[in-house]
Amino acid sequence: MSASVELPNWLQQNQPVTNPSAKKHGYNPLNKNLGWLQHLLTQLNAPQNIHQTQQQPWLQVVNLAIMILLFSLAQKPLLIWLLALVWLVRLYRLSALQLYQFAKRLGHMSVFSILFILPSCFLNSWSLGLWLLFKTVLILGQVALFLQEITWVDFIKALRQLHVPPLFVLALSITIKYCHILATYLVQVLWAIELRRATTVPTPFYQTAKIMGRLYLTSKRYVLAVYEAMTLRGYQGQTTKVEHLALSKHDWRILGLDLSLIMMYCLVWRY
Amino acid sequence: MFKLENISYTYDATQAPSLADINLTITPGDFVALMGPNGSGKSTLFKILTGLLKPQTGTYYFEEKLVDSTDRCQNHLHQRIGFVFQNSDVQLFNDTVFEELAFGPKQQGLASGAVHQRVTDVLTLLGIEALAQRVPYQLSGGEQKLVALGSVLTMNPAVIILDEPYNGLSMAYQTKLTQLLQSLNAAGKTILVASHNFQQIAELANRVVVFNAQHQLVLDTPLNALTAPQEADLRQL
Repeated sequence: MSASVELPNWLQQNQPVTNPSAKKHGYNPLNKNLGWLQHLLTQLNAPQNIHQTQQQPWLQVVNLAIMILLFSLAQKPLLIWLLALVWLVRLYRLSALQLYQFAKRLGHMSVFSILFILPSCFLNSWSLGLWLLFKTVLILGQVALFLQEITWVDFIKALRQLHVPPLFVLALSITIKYCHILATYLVQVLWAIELRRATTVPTPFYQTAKIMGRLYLTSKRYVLAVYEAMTLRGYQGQTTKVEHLALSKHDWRILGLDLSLIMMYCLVWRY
Repeated sequence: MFKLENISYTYDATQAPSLADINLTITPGDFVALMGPNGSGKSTLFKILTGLLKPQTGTYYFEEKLVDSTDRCQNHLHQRIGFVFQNSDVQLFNDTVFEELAFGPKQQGLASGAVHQRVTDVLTLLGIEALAQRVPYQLSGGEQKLVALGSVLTMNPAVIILDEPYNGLSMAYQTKLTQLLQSLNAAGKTILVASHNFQQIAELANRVVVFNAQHQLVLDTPLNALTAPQEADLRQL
């Protein structure tokens, strides 16, 4: 087929590069956010170095709840020492990389929690504040360990096993999946802007508002499309996926340990 | 124009690389068709060429300059290379098609008269004058594809990269796009197209580059030098 389209003159010329040495505008929120978002997506896409346990997912959630409860209620140092000992034994099973990730996560969470606890130190006594901080770090340690041992898929499975309302579980599951899709979409939009933001002219600030608007419209379109696809496949507001509680020999051991800790708490609390 | 030496890229460290040890040279005025099965690395290569992704290993030269992540280098790439995404929907972020097409030349610092002229010319060239005041978000997939191409053309890049440009286009638009790409190539633009359709590629390109499922470049040859078995394999893609 022969070329038969007449191009305008300017399109037939090889455009000189304008001001190639110029730097892009010093502060550009879009560019800053692009870097941040890409970093976040890389983190999300990074292979999760999860410590595989033999526990059922629901038991991991129950175990976490019990440990948080015990750490919160425990007042006697002896009991806290015992609980911390159990926690350290569990930490011992992590690999070096997993331990590093655990420590990093715990560090971040602890720094964040200090912001909330510091006023208590200033308003009350320092000893009370430090005690509170110590217990908070121990509780956050439980959460960090839990996150190191469970995937999102297993967490959703655990919620199903624990008979959490199916609609809630379904909404959570879809939200997790689509958050990732929307973030990828946002990165592509920012890429598109970056590719056409060729010289010194700063991207206008209102462009950010436009992108947010597009993101809202796109997420709405995704949600409707998902709902329509689910309806077409027979979804009528109820999910038929049921996960049954199952207990292995290993689960009984963990459950036994949890029960022993609760009994120990009752004994120490009494005497 | 492009020179890639031992380029590799991996999205996920635990999986095989999305591009494995790619060596490729593209000269000005080339019309290169990239073919390969889904997920073979064509889109990843385009993102590396446009500077959106930085290869983990190897070196990349554009117009005989080493590409790095400095502003100066990225500016240069973005002025010289236009990229139409596979999913054009994400590429459109302005309120109207007219504004969409005007965004690039405005960013290049062109006077408003020149911007207006370019936008009008491209709207006419693509036959989408009627869409000028429409909201890009509400257009059909094919129309969005054309607007995305228009938004690249108004910047008058030296290289135009199109990732699956025929997806979602009607036969009439496909023919129009083929003619337009031929004209642009005849005007000296370097064009890179990823496509699964050998029939369309055969009409357009003067060179074909093929990736296999292992993300390796397995064939790089002028289109008229293809052997019968090679052509049969490409038609099966």
